[in-house]
This record gives sequence, C-alpha cells and structure tokens, in this order.
Amino acid sequence: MAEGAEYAELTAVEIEEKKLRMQNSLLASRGNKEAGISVRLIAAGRWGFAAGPAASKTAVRKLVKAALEGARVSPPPAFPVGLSTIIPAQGSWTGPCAIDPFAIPDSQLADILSAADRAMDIEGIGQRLGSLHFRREHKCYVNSEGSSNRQVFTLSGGGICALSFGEGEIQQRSWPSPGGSYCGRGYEYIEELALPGHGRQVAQEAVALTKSPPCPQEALDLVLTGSLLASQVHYTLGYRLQLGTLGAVHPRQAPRLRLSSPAVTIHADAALPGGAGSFGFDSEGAKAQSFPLMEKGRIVSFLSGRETAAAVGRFSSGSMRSGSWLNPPVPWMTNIILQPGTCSLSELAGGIERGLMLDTPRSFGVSPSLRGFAAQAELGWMIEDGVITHMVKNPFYRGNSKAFWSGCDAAASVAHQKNLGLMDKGIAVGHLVVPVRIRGVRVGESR
Amino acid sequence: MTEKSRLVNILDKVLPKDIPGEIIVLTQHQRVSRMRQNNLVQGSECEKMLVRVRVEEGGRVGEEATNVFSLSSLRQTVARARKRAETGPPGPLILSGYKGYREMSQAPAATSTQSPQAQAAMLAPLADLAGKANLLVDACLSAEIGELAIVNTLGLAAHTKAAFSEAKISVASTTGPGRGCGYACDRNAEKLDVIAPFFRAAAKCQASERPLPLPAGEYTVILEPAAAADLIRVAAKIFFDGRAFLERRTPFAQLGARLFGDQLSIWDDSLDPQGLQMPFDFEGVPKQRLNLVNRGIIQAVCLDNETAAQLKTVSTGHAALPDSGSGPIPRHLAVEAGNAMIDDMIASTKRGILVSRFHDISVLDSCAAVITGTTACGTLLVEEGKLTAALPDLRFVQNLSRALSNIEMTGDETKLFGGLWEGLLVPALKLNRFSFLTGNTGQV
Repeated sequence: MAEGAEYAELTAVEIEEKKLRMQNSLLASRGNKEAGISVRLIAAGRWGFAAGPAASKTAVRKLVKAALEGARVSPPPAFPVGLSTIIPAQGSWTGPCAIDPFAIPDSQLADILSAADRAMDIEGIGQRLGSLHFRREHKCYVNSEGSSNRQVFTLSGGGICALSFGEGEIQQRSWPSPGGSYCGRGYEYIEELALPGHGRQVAQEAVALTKSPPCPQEALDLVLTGSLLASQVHYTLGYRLQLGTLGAVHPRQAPRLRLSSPAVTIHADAALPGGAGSFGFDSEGAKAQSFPLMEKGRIVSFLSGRETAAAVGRFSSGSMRSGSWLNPPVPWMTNIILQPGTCSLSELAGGIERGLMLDTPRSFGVSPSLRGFAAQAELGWMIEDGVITHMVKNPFYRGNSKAFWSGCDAAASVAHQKNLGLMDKGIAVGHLVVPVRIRGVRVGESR
Repeated sequence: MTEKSRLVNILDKVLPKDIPGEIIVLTQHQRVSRMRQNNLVQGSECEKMLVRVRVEEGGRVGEEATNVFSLSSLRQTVARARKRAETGPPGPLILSGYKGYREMSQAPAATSTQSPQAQAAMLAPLADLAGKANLLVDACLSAEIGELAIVNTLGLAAHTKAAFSEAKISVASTTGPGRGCGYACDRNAEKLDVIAPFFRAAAKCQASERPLPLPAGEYTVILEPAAAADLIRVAAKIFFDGRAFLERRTPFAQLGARLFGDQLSIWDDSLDPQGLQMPFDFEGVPKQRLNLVNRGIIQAVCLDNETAAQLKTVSTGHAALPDSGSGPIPRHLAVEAGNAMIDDMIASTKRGILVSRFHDISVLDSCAAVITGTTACGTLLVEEGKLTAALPDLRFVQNLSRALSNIEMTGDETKLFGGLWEGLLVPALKLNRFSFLTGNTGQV
C-alpha cells in the first residue's frame, strides 16, 4: 500500500447529510454530500497523514506520497512511534436504523418542526428554534496488518429551544439539550424525542424564568439531571480518562487516584446498540469494546488507541475516533454509561434539606488543566426539606472536578435512565445517565 | 488561462440559467507539522473543498453542498438544491450584483510550496532550545492556502486567493506546573518567526512555577495582545452580529448607544495591508472599512444581504463563511492602538494581574453581555509595578461591556491574529475592576 512505510492505513468515506432548522416558523434546510480518503502511516518512526476529497487511484497515490513526505523529515525522532499489538480484524458493521431518515420527505420533517414551533408560540417567547440533523456515513478501512472493515453509520439528532427576553436578560429553555441530542439510530429517535410534545413546557418555563428569583449564593446539595449531567460526565470525567488529552490523568497516577466517591461507576461501551458513539471498529480497525473506566470512584481503565496504550504498556481500548476524515484520529469517548443506583427521583430530593435540582446546560467550561470547571444550568428548582418549592434563574456552580464528584452520595435507578448524545469537536458521544445527588456545592447567580 | 478564470468558468457552466442562483467554492490546502515533547511527531497535509449552491425555485430557496468538484457532481448538486427548494424558506434569494473587484494577490509562493522538510527545519531549533532549558515544547506549525470563487445569475464572478501560516507553541516545565504559550502568524510561512514566541512561552513557563492562591475579587488586569484578542473575538459575536441585533439578542436596542469607555475604537477593515486581506465577503459583496465603535459609542453592526434587506439597507459585506452557523460578524477587526507599552502598564499597577491568554470563553447571556472563562498560559501577579508571583489559572465571570468601559491604558502596537479568511489587529489593554472568582489551583 505504501512502500517504505512501517505501518499504513487507508480510510475512505462517503457522507450524506441533511439539516433542517426552523426559527419563528421560518424553515431553512440544507443537504450535503461529501467523499474523501485519508492515509495515515508510520515511516522512519514518525506519523504521516494526508487527506483529500478525490477517490481515484492517482489521487490515492498522491496522498500516500504526501503522507510519506510528512513522516520522512529529518532529524530522526528520538522516540519512534510504537503501536500496541492488536489482532487483525475483518468484518462489516451497520448501525441500527429502523426508519431511514433519508427516505422521510422533508415536508414531513418540516411538519415536526412546525408543530414544535406552534407549541412554543406563547406570549413572552421572543424566539423559537427547532432543528433536525441526519447523517449517514459509509466507511471503508484497510491497514497493512491485515485489518479491514466496512461500516455504515446513521446518526439522527434534534432539539428545540425557546428564548424569552426579560428586562436586560435572555432566558432560554431547551429540549433535550441546547443544540439537540443525537443517537446512532434512524428517524425513530426523532419520534421518541417528541419535540412538539415538549414545546409548550419548554416555552412556559422560559417565560417563568424571567420572573423567577435569582439563584441563592450558598453551599447547596444538588440533584443533577438530563443533559446537564451528561455534560458534567463528559467534561469532568470523560476528558480526564482520554489518554493523550492534555490534562488527562496519567495511568501511573491511576491506582492511587480517586476521581469521585464510591457512588460513581462508569463504563465505556462502543458496542451499545444505538449509542451516538457506537461503531463496529474504531478508526484503527480495533473491534468495539465495552469496559469499565471507573469503579466505585477509582480509575480502572482508559480510553486509548494503539500508540497511547503502547506508551504506558497497555493494549488499545479501541477508542480512536475522528470528527472528520480530514483529521487524524485521537482517543475519544464512545458511549459513557453512568451506572444506575437504587433511588427514585423523589428519594434523591427527599434526602436534601436545602438544595437545587438542575437540568440542561446553558454553559459548561473546563479549565486548561481539566481539574476545574464552571457550569450554568438553564433552570434550577429549589429543594427545601426534601420538597421542590420554586424555580430559580441563572444557577451557576463551579469547583474542582474531583472534589465535586467526591460529594456524590446517590444515583437514581435505571427507571430514570436517559440516553443523550452530544457533539463535541464533530465527534458524537453517547451518554447514558441517571440523576445523581451531589452534596455541598458552592452555587450562586452568574450575574 | 489563469486559475481564476478556470474556477469561475467551471462554475459558470453549471449555474442555472432559468432561475436565480449562486455557487460558492472554497478550497483549502493545509500542511501541518506537530512537535510533542521536543520531538517532531507528525507531518500532515489535507485538502478541503466546499461547494455551496443556493437557488430560488418556485419562490423558495434551496441550498445544497458538496466537496466533489467535477462537472457532473456540480450539476447534481444544483439539481438537489432545486429539489430542496420545495421545502426551503420563502424567497427571494438576495444576490449580489457587484462586479470588477480589486485583484488582491496575497498568496506568496513560499506558502504554497512550503515542504514538510522546511517546516521540520523551522521547528528543529525549538527542541534544542527546550532541551537546554530543561523544558518540554509542543508546537503546531501550519501553513495553508485557499481560494474563494463566487458566481451568481446576476453576473457576479469573483475570485481571490489567501495564504496564512501560524505557529502555536506551548512550553511546559519538567519539574513543576509551569506552562507558557506563544503565538505567531504571517501571510508568508517563510517569514514566520517561531523563536520569539518560544522564548515568550518559556519565560511565562518559568515565571509560572509555584502558583499562589488568589482571593476572589475585582482586580486590575493587563491583557497581553493575545488575551485582548480572545476578548475581542467574543465581543464581535455579542455586539456586532447584525442578525443578533435584528433578533434583539444584543445588549443594545439602538445604534449610537454608549457601550464602552472613551478609549475604545474598533473597526473592521479587510483591506488593511497590515492585516489579512480579503476583497469581498462570502456573498461577493466588496469589502470596505466599517467603523463599529467610535470612542465607546456603537456606530454599526455587520450585515449580509439577508439582514440588510430586513433592515431596508445594504449589506456591509459581512456574509458568514458557509456552514459556519454564524451570523454576519466582523472577521477583520482592528482595535485602535494607544501609547502605552506593556512595561508601562505593569509599572503603573499597584496590584493587578498580567493575563497571557484566556481559555474556553463562553457567553452566559448575550443580552446582558455576561461571559465566563479562565486565564491560561501564564497568569502573573503584579505588585507595586513589578511581576512578583505566579498565579493559577483564574476563572472570571464578567460583564464584557463593563470590562471594556474600564480601559485605563491601551498598548502602542497592535499584534496580528487570524486564520485563512480572518485577521484581528489588537493591542494590549489595561482594564480596571475585572472580576475573578477564587483561584486556588484546580478550583477554577
């Protein structure tokens, strides 16, 4: 494939996409078709990578030449790239898709957004947004060690958002999350999201927020739910377990390091049926794997690829992913599953004297070291003596990730489990979450 | 036949003749070399292409895109756009009818031919320097060239090229938590200086060992040009986006409002030879200087054809990059320089904070102009006119309008930051009463 290379892999993709967006009853839609090939190889101990849109033999040769040139530069590397061993795998995989979204007429998709738009159209709402996004990717992979596969991915996503303009402020409510939630399935996921059915409540809450009192400034117990919890897991646990990510935990620290209380156990499962981050084979041809990342607060494994695993004497966890065929893959989250506990939602709240129930991120940021974070929820519900009393606006909390998760003392049962998928740097990641209770978090209003 | 006419001629062949339409092509060829922990670990090259077709058919607008640039693929994309118009938004598709653009050749041959070997040679001294100083350097050196061509059924045929190269350098201590960053960019990769940003990063790294905690509160901040540019980029989205203005998501209802201090004047000028030039926007509207803020008072917002039509005026030439999801925002901002050097800013500060960069800035409420983020790449305490200690990365929550109303000093020279189709010219800024939350290490 690439003469003179110590290792080489070639990936060819064809992508079809359609996006529909409705803003205040006005629909916009757009389609996209693209195709491309990438070549990634090791030559003279160094990575070379090249990608381009064409698919002819000549174009592939040109890409191989460019990748070889990129790798073979002087001086020779002090530490040549090493890859952990994997058993070459061949096969094919097709993600589940009960109803093909590309077979659904745009007019039918527009009807869903129109219905949600009408449901959100109440007094006090200044802007109504709805979106649907479908993506199908055909991917062929072959490497110089004998691995080869063909995969077909179908990704469906959607969401709605209502904005209410108050006195010098904007309040927003979204369902199921700002920017929508994704699943590795077909149009059936959009039906399950029931966007029109959530429209009225979303709009009413956005209006109510403009009249709500601000979030109190004190240390409170929190119940985190829905897409806010998915973001909390994603940015404050998942990132730290991706080998190679700046700020991730180093495996040599892992045996001693707790990232949370014993109430938190998380798994990675790339084979989860319908997960936004599911696949049959990762971007290095490794088979999809399911494994624990953190058991009772202790790190037991990492998200890795062949190079990052080899650097710490491990095997690849099959977690190499890329947001686009134009970029080399990196170790990334697949589907992250927060293990359910045994509580009902009312039991979680019932154990709180004074606290907040928070849902849906309005903003979520992490520090450069990944150790600290800050989040603002779209809305908070005050909990007093175990009972939800009233809505508060602009709830903002921040802290050290480890200290925050160390305050987790309970998780809700599987009956409360939600499957939410979010796009981060173009990579879809699935999050199966149940609400959790976190003790003693410093919260306040963000203004 | 020149390359310009080749691209445009192909587009002309597939442009529909019976309905209004527009085709835009963006190409990008990028070569990147990465150094990790003093080792050159990867050389990569990629070619991107985006073709966007917009048509008006049956009174509705259809839009389709592809990355396959062949006559058959382009014709199929046009056909798909016509079909998509059935469920698209109501027209009209507002097209630009301008012709006769200034030619702007800003793609020096050096960038288009820079080889992986040349990039490796440019980065090699960093490993030596870092090794001798007991430091670890990560670097990303990127050189790219691009073409933009637009044709439409009103007769527009526009074409330009761009070149851009940048070096992002991060230096880490081998013995402690110290980190520092450096940045440089230029239109010509050959002229890119990677050594100076390395030394800046190394100095920040060495100065930021053993960070001290800092109580929450309001502090005077001295923003190096890179940090000031980080804030100005966010300001572009909050204050100058014409679509946000139309939708009442801006912190002001009327132009002419005082939003910032007297010391602040901002304009957008993509024809400034000091910056990264672009003769027309992504709808083919010719660029011209647009004064956005004059002595603290907002003068204008950026408009594309659609937002301009809604305001019953003409586009300011700020149509967004296709597929960016953004509204019309300025991409060639310049902040008026003052007369202070950073040393003057430090010397005149009794107690304050020197900020090298900001990280992960997000908007909490665009209407209230409230933003949050952290400092990064070296945050230093200033006491009695001197840099005295390292600080951890600090989290801030700040009203941006208020922050830019409290400018005490402005740097005497602007630095260039940008990308292939954007460029910012921003000086250092000294701001009073910038609001930080507690900054113990990790508690950001």
